[in-house]
Amino acid sequence: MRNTGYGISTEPNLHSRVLVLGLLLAVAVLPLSAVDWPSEDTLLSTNFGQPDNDRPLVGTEFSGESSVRAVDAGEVLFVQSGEAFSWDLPQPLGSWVALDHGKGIISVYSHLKSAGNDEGRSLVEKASILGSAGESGWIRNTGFGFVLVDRTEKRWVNPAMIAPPRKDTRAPSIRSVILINKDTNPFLLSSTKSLRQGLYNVLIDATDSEDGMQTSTLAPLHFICLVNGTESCTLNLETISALNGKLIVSRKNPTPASEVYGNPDGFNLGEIRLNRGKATIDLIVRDASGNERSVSYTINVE
Amino acid sequence: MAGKKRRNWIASGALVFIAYVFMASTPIGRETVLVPAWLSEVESAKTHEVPVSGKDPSPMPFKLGSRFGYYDENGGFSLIESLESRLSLNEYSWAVYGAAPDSIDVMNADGSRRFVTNEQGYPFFINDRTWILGPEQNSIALLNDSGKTLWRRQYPSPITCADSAMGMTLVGLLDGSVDLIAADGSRVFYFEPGGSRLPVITAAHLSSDGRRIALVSGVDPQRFLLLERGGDSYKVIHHEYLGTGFRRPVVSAFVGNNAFFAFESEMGLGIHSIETKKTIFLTLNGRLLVMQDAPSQERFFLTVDTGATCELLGVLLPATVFMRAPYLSDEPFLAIKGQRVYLGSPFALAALDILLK
Repeated sequence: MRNTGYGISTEPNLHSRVLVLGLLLAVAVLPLSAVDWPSEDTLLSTNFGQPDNDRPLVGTEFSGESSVRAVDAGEVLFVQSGEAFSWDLPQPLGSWVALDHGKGIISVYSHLKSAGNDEGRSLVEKASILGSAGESGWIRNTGFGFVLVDRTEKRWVNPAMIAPPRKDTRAPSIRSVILINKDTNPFLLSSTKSLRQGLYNVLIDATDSEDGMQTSTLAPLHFICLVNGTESCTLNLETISALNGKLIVSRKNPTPASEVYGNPDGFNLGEIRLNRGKATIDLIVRDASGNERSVSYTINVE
Repeated sequence: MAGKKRRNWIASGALVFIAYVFMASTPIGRETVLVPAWLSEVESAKTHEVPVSGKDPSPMPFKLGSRFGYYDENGGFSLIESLESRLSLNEYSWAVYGAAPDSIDVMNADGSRRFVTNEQGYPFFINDRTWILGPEQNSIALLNDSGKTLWRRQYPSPITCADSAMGMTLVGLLDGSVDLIAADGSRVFYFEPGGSRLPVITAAHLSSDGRRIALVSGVDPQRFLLLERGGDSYKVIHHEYLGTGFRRPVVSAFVGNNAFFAFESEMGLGIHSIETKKTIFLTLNGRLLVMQDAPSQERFFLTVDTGATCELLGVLLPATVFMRAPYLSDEPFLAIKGQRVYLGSPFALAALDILLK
């Protein structure tokens, strides 16, 4: 495990526990065997959990020309070939194909140049070409989208949980950490020496990138906040479920995504309690390849 | 002796035959024919300045080739525009937008602006209401008359189909579930039809009175289900299997003033009578493209892609094909209004009168 942070004081055992927990969750989530990425040569342009206005993206988008391949063997479930007629339901996914992989897992490949048709094709082998990257639907440049749906658990699955690690040696970056008190006053931790005791929401502006990317806009996978060495709040972007018409993400407890993504200054990790005395606040951010960044702040609590 | 008997038999038979001809005969039924009314070129057409007094109160929308707009019963265009991007269109509203728009201008049929919305996604219109399907096709939002978001619902899989009636919104999902939403955004009814090896919703419709929901769901086997409102919920009143089924959106609609539901299937065009609970299948010569109801006439029309040509079919309910007419076109455009059928090609719009001769 790499540690590229600064001024850090964290517990290695906790890191290991989180990693093991993540792996266990991945195994639990994924009945798929060895799932590949739908394209080997293209870079991510957006990823699972990345903020998009006030909500998380549930898909992963790849940029550039490429063939789009089935991530595992499966069966064609649904094909939307071409954009819809003007009087029909529009298709933000453009031309798209959905494959059923059994046990409730569905993969969806969108924004294709052409999705063909459903006639005469039902079973698909792993790595079969389903189409090529296109510009259909809601996409700014040539590319394609990829999502995993867990039909049984009614949730979206981060493909990084089950696909092989991508070429990524870069640690996430932490741009800022802000504490917000009950009166919604923000305190930038890098320039705060003391605070009143009480409850604070932790807002972290953190991004990730992979090798070859020009910008760092991706969402990391795990966020952990420790107060005096005790885990106080977490955010895991492994799955995103939906309940009563709202997307739900996993903080310490299932939380409406609007609470986590409602502030443009960063991910809201939830509440921490600061008691009188000296407080050390550690924030650890990890991506799907295991790269990690952490920061530590010490403040006086009055 | 035997010859006399034989002659008597022949004479009796002839008498019976003559009597039958005179007593049981009926006039030959009149045939429905389509008579060309007008043909308007769309490539070179311009918007007509129609005086308010002569305006068609409900112009009809079209999209043909790279043009779209609204036409009237006389073949004039009350609005015609060139299309270089994406389009959503119905008889009340239209919107042209790019791949990932920050905001969308929703326009009235007369070309005036109705509102601007910043809700992210693509718009679609049913009657005079506007919804936005989110950028990842996993959310749907209803807008009010000024473009403000009334409610938004997010789902755990992509949306495959949607419909609306009586203020309610019906959403079908890739995960095989349907969600019926009230005008205030709350859930009215949630349902997973199941019964297929691969669950998916390929068509979902709400009758215009909101009483019934018709679904085509699943693959292997595909199923047709009809649900009827009972108290606060909906109950399945009929279902049937349709073979392995299509792995794509299924063309379907309530027809005949909600008395029938028509849907494409591997066995052809299924027409289900809600009263008798019987389904009759009509053979189609290709893939069903569009279906249009003519509610006051107990008939509906459809176009079928037969490969080299398109075929226009007229169906008299419950299930009699009263006309088949092949025509050449790359456009699946079909509209019915009153006693007229409108067909289109990328270059022209044609009106045909339905006459009995």
